[in-house]
Amino acid sequence: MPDALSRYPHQGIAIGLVAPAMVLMVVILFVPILIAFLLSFTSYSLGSEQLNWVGLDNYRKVFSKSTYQKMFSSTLLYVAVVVPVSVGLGLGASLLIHSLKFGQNLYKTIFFLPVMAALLAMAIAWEFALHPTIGIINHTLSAGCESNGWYSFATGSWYGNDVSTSWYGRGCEKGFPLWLGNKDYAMWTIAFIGIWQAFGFNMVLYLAGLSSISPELYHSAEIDGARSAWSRFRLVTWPMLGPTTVFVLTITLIRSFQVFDTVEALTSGGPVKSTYVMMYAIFEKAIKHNLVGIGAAITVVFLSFVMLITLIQRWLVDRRVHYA
Amino acid sequence: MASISLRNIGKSFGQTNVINRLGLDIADGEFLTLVGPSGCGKSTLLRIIAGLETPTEGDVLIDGKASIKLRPSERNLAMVFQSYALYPHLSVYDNIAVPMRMRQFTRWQRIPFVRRLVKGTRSVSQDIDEKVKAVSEKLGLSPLLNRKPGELSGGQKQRVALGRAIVRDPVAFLFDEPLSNLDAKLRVHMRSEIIDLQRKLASTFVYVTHDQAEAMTMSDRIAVMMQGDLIQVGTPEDIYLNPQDLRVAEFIGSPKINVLSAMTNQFGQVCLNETPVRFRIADESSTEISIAVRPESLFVCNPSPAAIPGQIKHIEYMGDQAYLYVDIEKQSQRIIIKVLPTQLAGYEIGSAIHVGFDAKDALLFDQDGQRIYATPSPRSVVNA
Amino acid sequence: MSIHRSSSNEAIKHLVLIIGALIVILPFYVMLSYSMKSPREIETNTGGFFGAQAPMIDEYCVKLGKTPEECTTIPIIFNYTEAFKKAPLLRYLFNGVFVTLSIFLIQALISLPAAYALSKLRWLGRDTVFALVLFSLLIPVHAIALPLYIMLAKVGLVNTYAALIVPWTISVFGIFLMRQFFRTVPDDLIDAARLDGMTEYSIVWRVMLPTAIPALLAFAIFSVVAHWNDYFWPRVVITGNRDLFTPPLGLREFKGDADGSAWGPMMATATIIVTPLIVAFLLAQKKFVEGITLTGMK
Repeated sequence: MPDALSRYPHQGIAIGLVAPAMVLMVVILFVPILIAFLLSFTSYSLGSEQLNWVGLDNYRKVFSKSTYQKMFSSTLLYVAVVVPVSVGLGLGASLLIHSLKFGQNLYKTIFFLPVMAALLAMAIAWEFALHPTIGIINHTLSAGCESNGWYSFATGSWYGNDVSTSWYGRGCEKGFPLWLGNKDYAMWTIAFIGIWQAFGFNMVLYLAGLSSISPELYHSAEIDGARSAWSRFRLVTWPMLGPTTVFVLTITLIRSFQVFDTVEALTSGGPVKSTYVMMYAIFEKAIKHNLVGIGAAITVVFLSFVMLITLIQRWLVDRRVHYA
Repeated sequence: MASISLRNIGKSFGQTNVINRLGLDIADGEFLTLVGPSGCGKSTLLRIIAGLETPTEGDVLIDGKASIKLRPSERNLAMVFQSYALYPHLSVYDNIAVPMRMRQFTRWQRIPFVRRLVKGTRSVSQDIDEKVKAVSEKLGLSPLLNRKPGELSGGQKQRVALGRAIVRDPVAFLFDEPLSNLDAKLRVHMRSEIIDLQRKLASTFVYVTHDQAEAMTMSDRIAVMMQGDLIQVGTPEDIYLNPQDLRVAEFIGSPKINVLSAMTNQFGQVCLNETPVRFRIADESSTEISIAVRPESLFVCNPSPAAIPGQIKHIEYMGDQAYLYVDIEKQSQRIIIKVLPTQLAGYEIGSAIHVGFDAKDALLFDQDGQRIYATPSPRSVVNA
Repeated sequence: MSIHRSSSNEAIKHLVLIIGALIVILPFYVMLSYSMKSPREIETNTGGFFGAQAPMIDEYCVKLGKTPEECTTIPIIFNYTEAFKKAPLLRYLFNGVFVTLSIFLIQALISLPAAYALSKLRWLGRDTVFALVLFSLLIPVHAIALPLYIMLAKVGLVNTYAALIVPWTISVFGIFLMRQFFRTVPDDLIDAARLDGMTEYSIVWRVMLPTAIPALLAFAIFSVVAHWNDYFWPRVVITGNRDLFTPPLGLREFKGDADGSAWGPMMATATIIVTPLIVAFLLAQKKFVEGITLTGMK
């Protein structure tokens, strides 16, 4: 076709240039999704070469067995805590830092450190800091029991509060929590480390967003009668940060769904499955215990979650293209 | 409507003075333009009037009331910014309505949805709606009310910015280089729209620009600023014909005024290239001065001892007029003569000519650039 | 804005930020401090930040039959030498460098030509391919770890360098990013190169690559940080073969069989693993922040 040749003179070369990428994309990204999908209907395990078709059994298990209900609830708890808090802290920190006269860079650097450090290493450091007997945190907390002023403040006794009803007072009497070793605290502690690691990233994105807002908009708002800092935030800052917020929310959501390092290294999903998150469940069931079918079913559920979130983000972003 | 008075305003950032203690009275209903090269402090001065900057010293009186402690929102001024500063997430309608909502709604009414639950919202809303519709009608924005600023052209954005300014009857309007982001044609058009607007509103306009043509064509009075100083305030005519400072003479007028360096001798005679020209100054000592003559006041003349010999280096034909660029001996600056195209005949690049000017058209400045006045000799045409 | 800002306000902001900074720094403090302390100091929480650095006796060394004098050392030296002696940390570090660099180089090798074809050439199917790229951006590789692991196991690649590298060789994000960047390169530049007689392949490497260095550098930082710190994927595909451990895996194994006496050396290992990127970040903060937040530019 001479016509096609003249319209697409580089057809052959172009195919050659994208071919390696396309092949890898199919083999590494698409085929595995298909395999996960197929395996999720089997009771396959590595080593036994049979493919036993079990229909929807794996999904039924995933959605009914209490282990997996714990898996969903702990994952959702983690996500529900980490996403709003780390995005909120990121926004708060960026607003504070942006309004500073000096020291902006110092804080920015410090808050960004956790993003750079290997999470596994820092998780272990946190484990030491949170160690029930020798850890610096419980050590400091119990040292505070000796200081009258702080004790009465923290227990609320200065206010006439009964010491034993306060969290701090009970801690002083009966010892402070085991954190990672207590099923009521473990997920919150893991979430805390997650927030610690994530919020600096969000802060940096928000700072970039803030510095791209024209100062004239604030001046204009001021003249239009936005007197309080809050009304200027409502009128200018928050809407102008809209695209950043959509992006920060999505990426934090996807990342917190994938939480693994802290759980694997610090709690192994325990105590009593209180930190049994999805990625850890896939790892434990499918790779450690060779229950590939179940793992594949969780993978499929997981993928649907993550892709749904990203699609919602894309839709939100497209809706807002008319930003100046 | 209000008058604005600046009292002893000074502003410095650390060691650098941006504005050196200046005073200025702007009358109620006046169109005053602050003009000057970039970095002269004119925008800072405007922002001090608006309350966006705090001066290091001095006070701003709005309608006679000391306002320096007032926040921008409390001064009841409107301002149009160079970048228009429209809220990109709000529609044209909402952009225009913002100043009204901010002022007329209470804290609770400003929150969407909650608004509906608060008593009295409806009548305020209706009031705002009528105002916004009226203003957009006036500015030809009615078909665009639902668009976002990102979908508008430069001129349309400019109109929205104007709409946002006029919607709430402020006591005065401040403009910070509002036309500099528009293309040349639209700029000329918007000039006349703004002048019209000022006539209709009969309100005080303070307008900052670096474009002397804008200043000349729009203002009742012009205030020229240079390096933080207010050098001269006057009507466009006054500023053009009677500049008090060489920098003003050079800044106003296009093409630029011609500046010739000259000497005075002990008799007070002014000598151009060692030849006495026929006017003298009171000071009888030997100093360097500058003679400034506008291009339209120079003419080509017959050779004579007093005429200045030169050579044409370049001819610019403009259709209705033409400029001759002429090099003169012992003068570093090339001079420009404005002539009628019909007068071009016989001249070409390289032609040797003689240049003359009428003594009454010459402006004299001392070494510091200050205006000095000549006492013309009886026959004062230089080439006579 | 310089309007009406009081200095007490400023002080409160600093106070809040300093408290935040202390919490952020806390684990780094613990890590560094433990890496310098003796086991006793760690257990009793004494010795301040640096530890007393009192001479201590290496008990394992005594068990080997040496005299106590020969086995006397100070905690900081003990911890850091122990970090290298107890496990082949140097090998782990080498593996980390080898794997991260290989991943980045292959990613660049694959992405750049594809990005060029997608941004600067007109060909049938371009829009389809680009749509596929956009779709693939939705897939987090960690999420499909299980089927990838099965595939690698089937071809016998588990416990090899290939297992660590291959799944990351395709970076759809890299393709997308480079395509966006190439679109800003003027067509004239490419036409000039064609007139000079360059083939499309040499245009990619000799014209596009040099113009893309800043973007590529940012992507390199993004990629290297992600894979140096990655723990999940090595944990899945490397089972027990210490020779292939990446630094985080090595640290994890250390933790697995560490008792109280090994906490100091373990934190020394952690410090050694974390330090390279932190130092690089402190030296080139702007570049790093830019690289890590790359995902933000869409």
